[in-house]
Amino acid sequence: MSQDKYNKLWKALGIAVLFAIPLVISDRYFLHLMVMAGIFVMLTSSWNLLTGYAGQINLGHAAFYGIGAYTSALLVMKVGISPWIGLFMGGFVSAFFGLLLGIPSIRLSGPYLAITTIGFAEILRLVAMNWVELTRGSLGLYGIPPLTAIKLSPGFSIEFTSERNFYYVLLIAIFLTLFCFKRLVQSEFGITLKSMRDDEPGAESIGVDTTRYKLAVFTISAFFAGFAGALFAHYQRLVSPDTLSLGETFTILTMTMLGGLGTLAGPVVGAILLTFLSEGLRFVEDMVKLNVRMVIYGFLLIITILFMREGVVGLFSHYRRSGDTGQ
Amino acid sequence: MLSIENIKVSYGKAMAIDGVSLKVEEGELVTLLGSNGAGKSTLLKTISGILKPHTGTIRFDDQDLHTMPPHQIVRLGIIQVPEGREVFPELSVLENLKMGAFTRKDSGVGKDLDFVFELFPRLKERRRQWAGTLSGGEAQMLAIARGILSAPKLFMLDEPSLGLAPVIRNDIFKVIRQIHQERGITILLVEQNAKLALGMSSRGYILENGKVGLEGKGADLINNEYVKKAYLGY
Repeated sequence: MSQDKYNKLWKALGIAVLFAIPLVISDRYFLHLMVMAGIFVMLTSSWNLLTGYAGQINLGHAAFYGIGAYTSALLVMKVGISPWIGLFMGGFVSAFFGLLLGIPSIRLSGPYLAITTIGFAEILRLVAMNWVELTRGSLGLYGIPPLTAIKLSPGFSIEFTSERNFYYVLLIAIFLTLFCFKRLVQSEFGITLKSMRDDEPGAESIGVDTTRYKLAVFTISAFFAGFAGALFAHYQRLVSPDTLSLGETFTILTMTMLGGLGTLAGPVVGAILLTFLSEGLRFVEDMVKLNVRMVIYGFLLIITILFMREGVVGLFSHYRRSGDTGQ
Repeated sequence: MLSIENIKVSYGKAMAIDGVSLKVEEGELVTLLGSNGAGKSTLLKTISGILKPHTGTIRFDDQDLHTMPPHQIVRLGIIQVPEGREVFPELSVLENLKMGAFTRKDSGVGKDLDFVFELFPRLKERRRQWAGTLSGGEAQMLAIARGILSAPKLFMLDEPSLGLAPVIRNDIFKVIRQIHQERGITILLVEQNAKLALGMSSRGYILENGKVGLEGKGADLINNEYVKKAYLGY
């Protein structure tokens, strides 16, 4: 029991530290990186649910991110809805596309599904590129309104234009996301997803309607990715077709693999590590005038696959996937 | 209970089952014998709905199975333990067992869990371990235990003794007899080990090149000259 108490204490402490960071560190650049890391935490976690837990290899995940970003941005700019509602609309529209992409997954698996998902993302990227009247093409949508300020009393309201305040919005969004994913993964639904990943015909043979589960997990995963995209749109206030690119998906993939595929903590660790690492590498790139970032990503991916399949979190036995699962 | 009428199944142009009729009555333990490629596993897969017959009918009680998708067939209580001890390697032993009870909504799951842990104490010891880390015999035990948790009405076992050490094989056969006698579960057993399997069966079928070569009571088949020569090795 005391072990349990310790865990709770650590958790409480961790949450306190996360909330205190912007109060102690006021460096805007650092907070900006924390926000970006946070957006990637949501994004990688949603990809991890789909690919790490359910085994559906999706190499078009950036499409959901982009759909969420464009949907919210366009609805707010053209229709005039509140950005807060836009966040959810981004999630819902993305979830709808998730459901659509789930349909081919009923019959396709492995590399075939992977190729289909790449095609899906590329089509959407080209649409965003070429539908100039709506998306302004490769210029991207700029001047996206920030999240509307919340008025607490006359003369006092919380604005969401600063990195610091946005950080708090994101922190809450991440807690809710991870809480949902934790409940999902540990429930019967989660065990069923894993059984499907391990052995699809096997899961069918004990009565799992895999079609339903695949569509469900695609929809849920896409919702959270779209929500992350919408958050990004109102934070960065600029969305370009690059958000839908294959490179973006590979960043998600590398983060998750490095952190630990199929674990809850993995995507969180991976997203934070790589966000800061890639910023560090930016300085190196400026020095050597060479795009070393992708080289290093690739290298990290190879090392992870060869020597630490379970990623960084796998190095700490407490979070391991294998052996004693504690279930 | 289960009645198969003159079904034909083929993989592309290769005919695997060429007009088989077979019956399993409630409470029976029926063995399906046959050499490699005779169509035993194909027959089980067809009953489970993974393969579909070109012609013929499969009926279970009053339902047509040959037009039903696999997951619905499972819901009728037709549970197959596939060949080669297929367990979910990255789920724990306990999670595997829970997956066995996937289609159940009743409250008897906990009691059945106790029952299989009693049958296989090794699984209880290893319940938190990844199923992929089990030995061959343990994995087979888990596959059978998972099947029991599905509360089968018709329990189909595909070569449960395949590749197991003799001691463990005997244990497995003992358990199969136990669940048949104590729980009254109807069993359709596919085996290569003719003597052990026929010895405890009510009836048996011998498949040869996709057709039923012989059928009869278990005891009669053991004493049949042809069976002795071809399957018992004396």
